[in-house]
Amino acid sequence: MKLNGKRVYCIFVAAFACLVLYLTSQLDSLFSPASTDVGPKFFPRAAAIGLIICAIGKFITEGNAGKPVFDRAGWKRIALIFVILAGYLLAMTVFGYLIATPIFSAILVIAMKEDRKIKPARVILFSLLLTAVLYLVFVKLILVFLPEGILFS
Amino acid sequence: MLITVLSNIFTPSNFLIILGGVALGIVFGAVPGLSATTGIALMLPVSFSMSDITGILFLGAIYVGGISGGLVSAILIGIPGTPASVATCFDGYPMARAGRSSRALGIGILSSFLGTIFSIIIAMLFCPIIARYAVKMGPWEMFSLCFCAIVLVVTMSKGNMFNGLMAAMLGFIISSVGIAPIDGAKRFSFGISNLLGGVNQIALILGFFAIATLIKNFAKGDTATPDIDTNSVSGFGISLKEYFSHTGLILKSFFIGLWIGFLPGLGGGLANLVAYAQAKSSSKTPEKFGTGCDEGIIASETSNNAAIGGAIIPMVALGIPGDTATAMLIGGLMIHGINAGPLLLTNHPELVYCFFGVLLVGAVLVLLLQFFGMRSFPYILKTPANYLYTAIFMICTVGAYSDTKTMFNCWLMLIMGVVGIIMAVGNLPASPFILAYILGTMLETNMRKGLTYTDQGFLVFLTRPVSLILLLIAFFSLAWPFIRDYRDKKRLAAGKLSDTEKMAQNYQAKGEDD
Repeated sequence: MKLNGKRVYCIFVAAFACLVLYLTSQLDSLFSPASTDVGPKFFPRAAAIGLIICAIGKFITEGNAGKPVFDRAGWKRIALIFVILAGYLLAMTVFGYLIATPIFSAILVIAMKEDRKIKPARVILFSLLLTAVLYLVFVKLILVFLPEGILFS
Repeated sequence: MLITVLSNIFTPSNFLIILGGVALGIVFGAVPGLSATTGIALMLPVSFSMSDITGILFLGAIYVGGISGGLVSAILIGIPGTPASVATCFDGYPMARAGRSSRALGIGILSSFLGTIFSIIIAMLFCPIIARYAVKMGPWEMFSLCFCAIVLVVTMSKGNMFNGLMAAMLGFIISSVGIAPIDGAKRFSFGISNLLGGVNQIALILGFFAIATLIKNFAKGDTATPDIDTNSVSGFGISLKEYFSHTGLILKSFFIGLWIGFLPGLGGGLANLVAYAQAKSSSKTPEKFGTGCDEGIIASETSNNAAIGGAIIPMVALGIPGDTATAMLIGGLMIHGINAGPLLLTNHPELVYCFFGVLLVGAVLVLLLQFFGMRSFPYILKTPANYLYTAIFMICTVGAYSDTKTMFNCWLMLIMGVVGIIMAVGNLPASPFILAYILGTMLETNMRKGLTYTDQGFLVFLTRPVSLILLLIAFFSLAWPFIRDYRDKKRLAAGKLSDTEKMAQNYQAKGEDD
C-alpha cells in the first residue's frame, strides 16, 4: 500500500482525533452527574472515535484516487495570503486599524494582481478609501471602536 | 400581524437596508467564487449591530439576492456564480453567445422570481402546521431529528461518504469547545477565557466561508477578469405570453426545487441539475438542450429559487437548516440570542413573518433590480478580483473584531480559514461541518436530557415512535448510498441509466460543496 498525499492526510486526521481523545480523558465535570447521564466526555469522545473510523474508511476507499486540490504554485499563494493576513493582524495590534489597514490593503492588492497592470495611484486611492469607508461604517454607524494599537492607546 | 410586518419592512430605514441587502446579495451571487453564503457570512457582524428584526430583514434580503444573482455570471460568462446556477450555463451561455443575452437574462430573472415567490408562500402555509407538531417533541425526538438531519446532509454530500462524515465529526468536536451543557464542565478551552463560550460563530463563519473560500479561489487561479459583450445586454428579450407558454415546465421544475430544497443539505445545487435533466428527458426536442433553448434556463432557475422556500420550511419550523445559507441564517438568529426551533413561531411570530415578508419583498426587488440593472451586470463581473478580495478580507477582519472587540477573534477567524483550507485539501464538504457545528450543542443537550429523564439508557431513543422513525430514516440514509452504488454499477454496465441519474451521478462525483 503506497503512502500518498491522501493517505498522509488520513493519518494526520486520525492523529488529531487521538489528541482529542487524550484531551477528553483529562476533562472533569463540575458537578456529579446524574447516574444515567453520560457526562461531558461522551460527546467529544464519540466524535473523535467517529473521526478515526472515518479516517480509516477514507484511507482504504480513497487512498489512490484523484489529483491534489492545490499544486505547488497554489500552496505558495495560500502561504502568501496567510502570511500577509497574519502580518496585518500583528500590525493592527501594534499600530492600530488606521495605520495597518491602508498599508496591508495595498500589499494585498499587489500580491493578488496576477497578470493585471497595477497603477500605484489607483492602489493608494483604493486603500485609503477602503480604510475610510470601513472606519465610517463601523465606528460612526455601528459604534464599534476599532483597535488603536498598543503604541497609541 | 400583517400590519406589524408591513410597518417593519416599509419603514424607510428598514426598506433601504433591504434594498441594499438585495443589491449586495445579487453582487455576491453574480461574482464567481462568492455566493449567498459568503454574503451572509460577511454581513453577520454588521447585522449584529441592528435590532433583531432589522438584522433578519437584512440577512434575508442578502439570501434572496444571492441565490437569484447566480444566473448573471452563468449566462454572461458561462461560469455559475453559485452551485445553484450550474445548469443555467448549459443553455444560458450559448444563448448569450448567440447575441441573445437579454432574452436569456429575462427568462432567468422571471423564472427566479416565480420560483422564489411561490415557494415562500408555500413555506408560509406549511411552517405553522409543522411547528405545531414539532413543539410536542421531547428531547428524545429532538435528538433524533438533529441526528437524522446531519446524517441526511452527510449522505447527500458529493463524493465519498467518509468525507461527509469526517466533516460532521470535526463540526461536533469544534461545537464541544467551551462550557458543556447540563453540568458546565470546561472543555478544550486551554485556560483561554475567550474560548469558554465556545468557538465564536462569527469568527468560524467568516474564516471558513469567506477567508478560506477566497484563498482557495486565488490558489486555484480562479480570479481572471472575464470578457463580456456589453452591447447585447438591453431590454427583456421575451414577452410574458411567450414565457408562460412553458407553464407545465415551470410547475414541474418548481415542485422539483421545492422538494429538493426541503431535504436537508441538498438545496438549489442539486435542484437545478435534476430539474434540467427532467426538462430535457421529457422534452419533444431534447436535441435543442445545450444549444441555447428557453426550457433549459426556465427549468434551472425556477427550481433553484423554489429550493429557497423548501429550505426555509425545516429552518423555521424545526430549527434544522436546509443548506449552508440557512445554517448561516440560524447563526444570525443565535447571535441575536434567538434560538431557532419549533418554538420560534410561538415565541417570535413577528420575527418569522417579517422574515417571510422580506423574502417576498426581496423577490420583487430582485426582479426590479435585475431588470433595471441589467446593463450594469457586465461591469460587476469585470471588477478585478484583487481589489474585490482585498475589500472582503478587510471587511472580514473588522467584522470579526467588532463581534467581541478582541483581536483574539481575528486570529480565531484566521485559524478557521486554515481549517477551511485543510478540509478542502481532503475534499471534506462544508455543509456537514457547519450543520454539525450549529446543531452540535442542541444534539448533545437533548441527548443528555433524554438520558437523564429516564433510566432506560440509550434504549429510550428507540422506544419512542417518532424518535425511532427518525433514527430508522438516518440508518437507511447511511445504507442507501452503498445500495445505490451497487444498483447503479449494475445498471451502468447494462447501459440503463436515465439522464436524471447521470446528472445526479455527475453532481455526486464533481465540484465543490456550496
